[in-house]
Amino acid sequence: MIRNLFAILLILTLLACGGGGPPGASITLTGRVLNVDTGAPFSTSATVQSSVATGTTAVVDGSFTVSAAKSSTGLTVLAPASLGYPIFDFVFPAQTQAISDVGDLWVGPQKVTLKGVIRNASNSAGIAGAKIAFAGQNGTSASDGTFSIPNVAYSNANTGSFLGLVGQVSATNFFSNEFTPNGNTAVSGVVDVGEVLMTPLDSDNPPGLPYNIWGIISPSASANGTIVTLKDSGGTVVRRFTVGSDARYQFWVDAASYRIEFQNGSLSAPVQNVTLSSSSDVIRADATLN
Amino acid sequence: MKAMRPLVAALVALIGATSAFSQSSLIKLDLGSTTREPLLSQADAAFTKYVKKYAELTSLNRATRAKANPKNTQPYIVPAVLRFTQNGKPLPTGGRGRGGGLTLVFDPTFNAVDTGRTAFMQKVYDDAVATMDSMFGAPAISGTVNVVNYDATIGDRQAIVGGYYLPNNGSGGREIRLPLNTSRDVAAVALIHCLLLAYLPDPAYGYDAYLEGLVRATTMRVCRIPAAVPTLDQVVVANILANGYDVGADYDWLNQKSLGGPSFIAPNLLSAPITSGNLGGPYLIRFRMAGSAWAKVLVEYPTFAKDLNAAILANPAAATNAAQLENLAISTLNSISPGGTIEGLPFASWIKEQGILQTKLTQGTKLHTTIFPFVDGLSGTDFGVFGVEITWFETAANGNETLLSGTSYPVFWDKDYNRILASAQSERIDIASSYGSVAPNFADENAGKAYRVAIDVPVQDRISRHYVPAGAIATPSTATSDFYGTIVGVNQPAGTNLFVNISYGSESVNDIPVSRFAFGTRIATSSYLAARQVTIQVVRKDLGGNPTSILTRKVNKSIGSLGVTLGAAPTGTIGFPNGLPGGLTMVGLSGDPLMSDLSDALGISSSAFLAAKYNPSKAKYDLFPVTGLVSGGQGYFVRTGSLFNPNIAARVETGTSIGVALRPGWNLISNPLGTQCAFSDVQVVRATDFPRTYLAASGNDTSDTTAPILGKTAFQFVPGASDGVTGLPEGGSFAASTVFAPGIGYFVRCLAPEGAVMLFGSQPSGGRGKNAPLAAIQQSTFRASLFGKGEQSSVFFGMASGATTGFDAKWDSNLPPAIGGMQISAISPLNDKRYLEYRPYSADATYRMNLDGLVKGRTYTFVIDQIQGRWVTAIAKNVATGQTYSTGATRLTIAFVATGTSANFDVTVRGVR
Repeated sequence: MIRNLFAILLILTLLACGGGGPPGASITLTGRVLNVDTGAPFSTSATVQSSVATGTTAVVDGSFTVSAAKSSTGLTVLAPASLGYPIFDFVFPAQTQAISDVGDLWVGPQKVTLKGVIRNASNSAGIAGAKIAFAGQNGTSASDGTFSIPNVAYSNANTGSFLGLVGQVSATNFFSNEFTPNGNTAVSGVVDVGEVLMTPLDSDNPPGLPYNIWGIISPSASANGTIVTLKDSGGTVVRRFTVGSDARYQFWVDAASYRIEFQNGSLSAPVQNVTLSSSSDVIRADATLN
Repeated sequence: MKAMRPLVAALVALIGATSAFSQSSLIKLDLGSTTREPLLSQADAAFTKYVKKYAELTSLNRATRAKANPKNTQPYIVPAVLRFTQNGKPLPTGGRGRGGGLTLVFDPTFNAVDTGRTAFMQKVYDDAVATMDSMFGAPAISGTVNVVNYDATIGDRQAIVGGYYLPNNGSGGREIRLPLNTSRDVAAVALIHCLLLAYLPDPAYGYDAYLEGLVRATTMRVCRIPAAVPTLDQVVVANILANGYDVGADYDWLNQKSLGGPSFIAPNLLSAPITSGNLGGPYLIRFRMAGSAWAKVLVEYPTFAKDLNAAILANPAAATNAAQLENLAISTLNSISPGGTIEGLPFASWIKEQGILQTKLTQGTKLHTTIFPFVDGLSGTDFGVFGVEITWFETAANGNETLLSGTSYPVFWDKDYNRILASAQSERIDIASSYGSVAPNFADENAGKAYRVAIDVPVQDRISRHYVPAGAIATPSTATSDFYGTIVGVNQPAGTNLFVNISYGSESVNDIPVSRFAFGTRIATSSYLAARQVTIQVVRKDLGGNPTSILTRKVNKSIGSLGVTLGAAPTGTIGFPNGLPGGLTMVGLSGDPLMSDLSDALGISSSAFLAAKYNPSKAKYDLFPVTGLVSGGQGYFVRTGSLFNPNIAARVETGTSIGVALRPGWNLISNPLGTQCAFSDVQVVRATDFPRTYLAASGNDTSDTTAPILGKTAFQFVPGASDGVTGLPEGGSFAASTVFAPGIGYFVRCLAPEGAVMLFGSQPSGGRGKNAPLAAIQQSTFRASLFGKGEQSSVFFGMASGATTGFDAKWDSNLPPAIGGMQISAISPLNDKRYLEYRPYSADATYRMNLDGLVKGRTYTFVIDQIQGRWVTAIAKNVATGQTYSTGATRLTIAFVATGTSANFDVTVRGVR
């Protein structure tokens, strides 16, 4: 209530000031307001408030236009009063275009916190700084990839629309991706969407060749030219690899037990014994020359 | 009875390793040892979970299917076998042994809600038993079977899932446990199904594809004979069977390899809740397809199930091995009809074409698409309304299935492969918990005449293709057709018309007109509407009416309507241009193999080769067997120990266009057609955009300024020199491709986050664009080549207007370092190793060529030649020695002896302007 009071006072103050901001610095924000309880616009207009003006939504499609200060970063939406919905504040990146579309802003009878974790699909590492957008709300992932977006519209009575919402996630050096609640509903006011995987923007180079035994030779200064010999359990040489400047070796061989030997002139590394229980296993066996 | 230990926690699972019903029994309850009451309690709990799933499923699925047929509101029946095991071993089936029938003892509580229900069920059995015996054989084990009312436990009344059968209820008795269905018709079908389960020998079939398929097919036949079920309403029975037993007219559309596997319900899904709004995975369509597949056999050989049961009884060891089962089925068929065929095919060939009957577990992502026409409630501009349902899931090594989410952008094509935009709601399918659907309406575009629509449904790197006849099945103003379909891969020269003939028994309907490769008609005779074999012929007539037979196909249809896709993907064989030559190679599938497993498709023991498929989502290779379901358009790295020429049974497309789905990143793909495709024969589609040519989509068309969808270059693999140890190439390098040839694998990079679809055209070899120019060649282009002992490597460099000294996506292309092979690369000013390196057109330039993977002391030849533009001066300098070499008339050739594993040459070109 106190928060709402502050919001109202802020609006009244801004209106009394004639809209605030320097002349000519206003923009128009457009978008739609939709009801997560029904998946449709409100049958009576909702109210959309910027820092400088108030607008209403069209009954036919929920669309709105409202003046706002340039570089605005938020809107407040009030559902028709008869519904008794909470007030929804939406925060978004600074809008600078003369007409800026802020997309679909979803409101509903309840609010939940949307949580999950953004991961690199190639190694499952959390992705920091990923931008997440869902139901008009926005968030950023933490250093471990987790994110938590509060004030997401929800309906305890009708989850169908919520479950059909599609969120977007973007991160530097990754292909953008989409996600859904994936059938997860609220538990104690929290909807956990689980892992959202992102595919790394790979290089312009096609991938290298497949392998299931590999390793790095160190020290790197001595690695170039190292002969890595793969022998089977009977001591027969199966493969031999000459290490290049990248200090890396690799083999793609059948499932079996192997012995790996490393030699570069007078330098050598301890023999490594590895067992591939399946040809789809991948084993890493690094070596240090001395 | 021995002293009882405490009850061990119950395990409800689908698959066991030893039970007679091990692969196929739906529910297995494993007990250490137990007393009677806790055992019954656990059985109840196990089955309660099971039926609750079906309760939700059936309700939802009915709602979905009712869109296609509002009358189709009968519940589903999915009876099951519950097998008790003790200490891992199945309890023996109760009963007396062979000979004699079943004595049913009904729980009198059935009558509490429905007076006379037990008498009704006894009469159902009495009426049907002779037909059941004639179709399925007498019960393998005779004796008493208790039919028990479990309605209070099972619960969900609306679902009415039927019940389940226990070969041993823990006390040596056999039981069928049923809910109290409100519909007596439903109860009767469920009882007959459970009784047939009780008829089976023990051990029975080891796979759901056989067990459930044969029982369902037989249940259908029994229940569709009015004399066998005189108390039932055949209209209601038809709907019950359509919901849970039979896919009817839609078999061609639904016959997909992704359904295959040893069991129909994944172990992990048995007790997992079904999310509201979806079907909970692929299992219901599996049940229906299995019933329909075997029903095709019974159409031709009505005693087949009985004879196969007898064969199993005589040879129980054949129950758990797929190959043995197949051989047993073949010998059974031969005993009925020597040399007998199914739908005109030898059994061994026929069964490979039925995706549902492939029992091998394949890992990885799978896509199934269900297509069905809307025939009721049409109005206004409805012309060709079809339901498109996606099931998207992933199978693990242990058979568990993960219900995946994602997005698909379906692509609809007309007969000339122009994209059809249906409606905004139909252009995107959001998939949640494996399920997504749309219902496109294909508008009247042909003055009321039908036309063929090809529907591509891509999800990640999987794609399904279906052909539907828009306007040929039902419109608001036309009677619903009962024979309809499409024709694919058939040439129709100007001045000719296509017709379809169908014959069945002594009757036939001829000259059914084909419009834009689609047709539909209403036959409606009782003879046609019966389940029977029909022969379909496609005929082309010239203006004089002279007919030419194009193709003929036999179909064993179900009762009612029939939809067919004629000519699509005829079965043939595919291979690779050089076979599998031994060592490392990169191959592609220019057809869709019938077998779902890569080693099975190649005909190689899974332990005799290595295969890998690149997974851009994981930025690493999936190694066989994780490579997943094999399908056309996929590429693989394969390593074999010696030359092998596989002869892969596959559906081979030659007269149409086929799509290949791409994920963001590098995709290892192939041309899915049996003929070569020039770049100009390939279209690329991203999401809801209009298609672009491959050259434009890959940034190789300078007139197209739109951002590229694909990387500039499609790479193919060039095996390196033979390895000193194995005598086979174990490495190699990548080279740009100028064409998409059959059997070759290609790396193509997709730049679109949504993925894309490459549509490979049907232009035969020698057609337009066969010798399309090298995509990257623009302005003045030079080639630098390095020749060694049995090895060759080339890069291209030059000058082009618009190019810079940085990385230009339109001009430049990086190259990875060779792995185990000799490789030449152009070093860019950014120090990248490039395959294509272009500089501004207006300047002279020096390019450093790096030669790597050399063998010290070996002689190499380094060649510069100009392949586009006026020949200009070129000077090459060996960076190590400082020696320079001058230009020849049209090329510069340098022979040198390697002094190390790498060398550098600086090549300066002058006078381009």
